[in-house]
Amino acid sequence: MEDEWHTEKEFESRLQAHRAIVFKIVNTYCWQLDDRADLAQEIAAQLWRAWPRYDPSRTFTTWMYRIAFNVAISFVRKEVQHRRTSVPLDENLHDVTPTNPIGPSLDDRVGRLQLFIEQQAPLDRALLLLYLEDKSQKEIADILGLTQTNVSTKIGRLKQKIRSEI
Amino acid sequence: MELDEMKAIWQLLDKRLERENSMTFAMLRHQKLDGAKTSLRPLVVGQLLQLLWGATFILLAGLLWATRPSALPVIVAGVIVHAYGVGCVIVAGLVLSAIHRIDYAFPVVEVQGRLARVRRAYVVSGIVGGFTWWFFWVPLLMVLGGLVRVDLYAHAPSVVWIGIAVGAIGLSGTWWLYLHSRKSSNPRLRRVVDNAMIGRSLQRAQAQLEEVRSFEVENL
Repeated sequence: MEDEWHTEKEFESRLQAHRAIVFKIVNTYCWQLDDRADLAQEIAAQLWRAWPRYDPSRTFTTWMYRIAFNVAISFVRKEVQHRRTSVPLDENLHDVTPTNPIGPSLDDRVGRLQLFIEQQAPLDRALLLLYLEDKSQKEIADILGLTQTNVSTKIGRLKQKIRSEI
Repeated sequence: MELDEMKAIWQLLDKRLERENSMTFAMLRHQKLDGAKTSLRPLVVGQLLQLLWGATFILLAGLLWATRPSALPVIVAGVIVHAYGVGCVIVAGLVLSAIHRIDYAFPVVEVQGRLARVRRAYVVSGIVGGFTWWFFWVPLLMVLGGLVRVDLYAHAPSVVWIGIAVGAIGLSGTWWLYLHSRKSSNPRLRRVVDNAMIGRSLQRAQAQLEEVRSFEVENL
């Protein structure tokens, strides 16, 4: 019983420490507030279910990214695919930005970035997110299950696409 | 937009989200043990229903065997109905087992590929199961007759033969329509036939599998 309590506590502290991963993925894949809440809960539930099988010798964030992406991609295929034109990512963030000292075109640039993310297929979006997070090619390859060469090629293409489309 | 600028904007966005998300972590924590609904639940529920569906036909065949039928046509019909029920149960069991074996902690491409294959297998089995009804209703009718000790084939063989002929014509017609739509230059006809016969679910499952495959392929 005590072991169980410790396990749960450890899981909670790790989830708390790395919660940003969950929220970044949720915000990358969902545009409706309800969907975001559902997806965040589903990711947390799957992480908790997989937690007993977690191998501590492996990187926790890689494990977490894999589960969160897998849940998010499955979720987006089922729930959101047919209604992608809902709440844009930054709509609920406007409240925290009106006094932002950074130039007036920032929201515009943020908007363009979000639009670009939205237009990517679910797997490409995972690659893009990891790239923006400054993950190494090895880490990206490990999370997605690609070879490093493939990751490198895909990132090269992504860069070209970003330059031409944004 | 340059890449460095893009990353800087992403980091900024991140900080904003962090401010917003710190308020919702409690929700995340309290919900985790409740087993939030999973995206695969409809697939699992569908398989459980198919298990029940198959079990119904096994039960029906069991009831027929309890009457100890002696007429060969009734026995053959019973075997077909029994086999159909067992087939439904086996397929549902295989899909459920495949779903259960998917570990989300595996690399994304591998898991998504497996999920897409499971979905496609599920949809294909549904389509095959649906087409069998062109013929299946005949032995089913014979089994129902057998339950009240009526040998349908002995009393009205024309019903059985007409049923089989209708099934053969229906299935051939369906196949012809499918081939015709493939060759047709009319995209609307192709779409209508695809949607009616193959269904959007299979197209979606196939598209997902293709998406995963093309993502996995190294194009140097």
